[in-house]
Amino acid sequence: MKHTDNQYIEEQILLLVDGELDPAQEQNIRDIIAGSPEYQELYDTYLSLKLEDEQDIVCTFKDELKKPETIAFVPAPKRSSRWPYYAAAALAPIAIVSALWFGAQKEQLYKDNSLVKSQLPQNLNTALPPAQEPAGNNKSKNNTNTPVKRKTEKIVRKANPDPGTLALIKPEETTPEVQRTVHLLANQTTGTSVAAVRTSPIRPIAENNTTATEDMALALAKIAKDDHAPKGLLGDVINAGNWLLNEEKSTTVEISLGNFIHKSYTITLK
Amino acid sequence: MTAQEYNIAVEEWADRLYRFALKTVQEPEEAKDIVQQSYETLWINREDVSPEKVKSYLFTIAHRRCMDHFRKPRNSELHQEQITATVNPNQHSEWKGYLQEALKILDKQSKTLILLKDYEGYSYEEIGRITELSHAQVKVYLHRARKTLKEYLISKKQIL
Repeated sequence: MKHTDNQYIEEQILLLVDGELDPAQEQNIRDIIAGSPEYQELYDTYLSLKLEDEQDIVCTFKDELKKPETIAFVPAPKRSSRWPYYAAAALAPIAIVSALWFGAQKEQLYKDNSLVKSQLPQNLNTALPPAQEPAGNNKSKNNTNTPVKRKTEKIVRKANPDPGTLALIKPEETTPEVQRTVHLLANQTTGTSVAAVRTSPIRPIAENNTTATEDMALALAKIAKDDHAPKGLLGDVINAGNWLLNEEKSTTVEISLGNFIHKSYTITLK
Repeated sequence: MTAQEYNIAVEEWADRLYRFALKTVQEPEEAKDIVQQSYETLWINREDVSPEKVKSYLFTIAHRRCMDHFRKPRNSELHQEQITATVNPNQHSEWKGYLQEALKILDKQSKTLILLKDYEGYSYEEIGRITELSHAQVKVYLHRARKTLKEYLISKKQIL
């Protein structure tokens, strides 16, 4: 198809200059150009307008652009995982509420059934519950206070009762299974304020708990006179432990203190 | 793309890219910056660029940087000085000198299209991808630019 429209032919010439025609179109416009000096001149003009690549302009900073081809492997920095913080933040209110709730429960449990009626009992014989008796007699003891017992068992378990462990437990919580429990009934005579000391079977102690109690009471009274001996309730526990073990060896004592504040402490006898 | 392929791309295309940037922005330092930025972008994204598309990728980045350069507020006096310093007609033949001068009357976009077509030999379609123009737009703008150059040079000839 022959086109005579000047505008169209000029466009075709421009496309020819730009190399955008397919072979058939190219041949067609070349024929037109060849047959017209005017179009030939136009073609030559456009051809002369084409920029020539300027090879003299070169990039002189190629080395700055290049990268080392062997790159040491650098592990990507570990993204610090934040989920433990989120988990902690989520659990914190639950922990606080739980602590308050258990605290309230504990207070209720020990309100009238404290381990030690007073931190400084004047007469523990009257202060302690009537069920307090030496271990030998505690088979007949009334153990109806189930929640308290459960709590105590928990404490004892926590003490990991291996040989050498002493635990201060509530007298009414002693059970027949705890064969080697010595109740050291505090009284004004000895000035001892230890409510009870339970030992694991490190060495046999007197079968007659009453005797053992008396012996311990006397022993502790003697120890108490020593200015260097530990004083107070905790000191009594330590002294009692030392007396029972008959030697100063490393031993763990778990004690429970307080009327409304029930806490556990682990100490080492040396 | 490996580091080795990247370095080959530097050897192969850095001259052309620098020429394109220099002709477009007319400032050697700015052209150098544009080339460095283009290659830095290529290095960062080297995993996503295949070796056969490197040239097109580089020119696309360079074109964008050139356009960014023109959008920046500039000191027109300084710009004019730099253009004069860069384009020295004595270095070329008379016709080439006029042609380089004539390029200055073109708008930035038309000039870029001419450079991509004549210097790099890109097709309209490829130029469209680089400059984000349609095939028809490239064709129209390029033809218009060539006609403008032709008219300018014809009038220049007549004056001389």
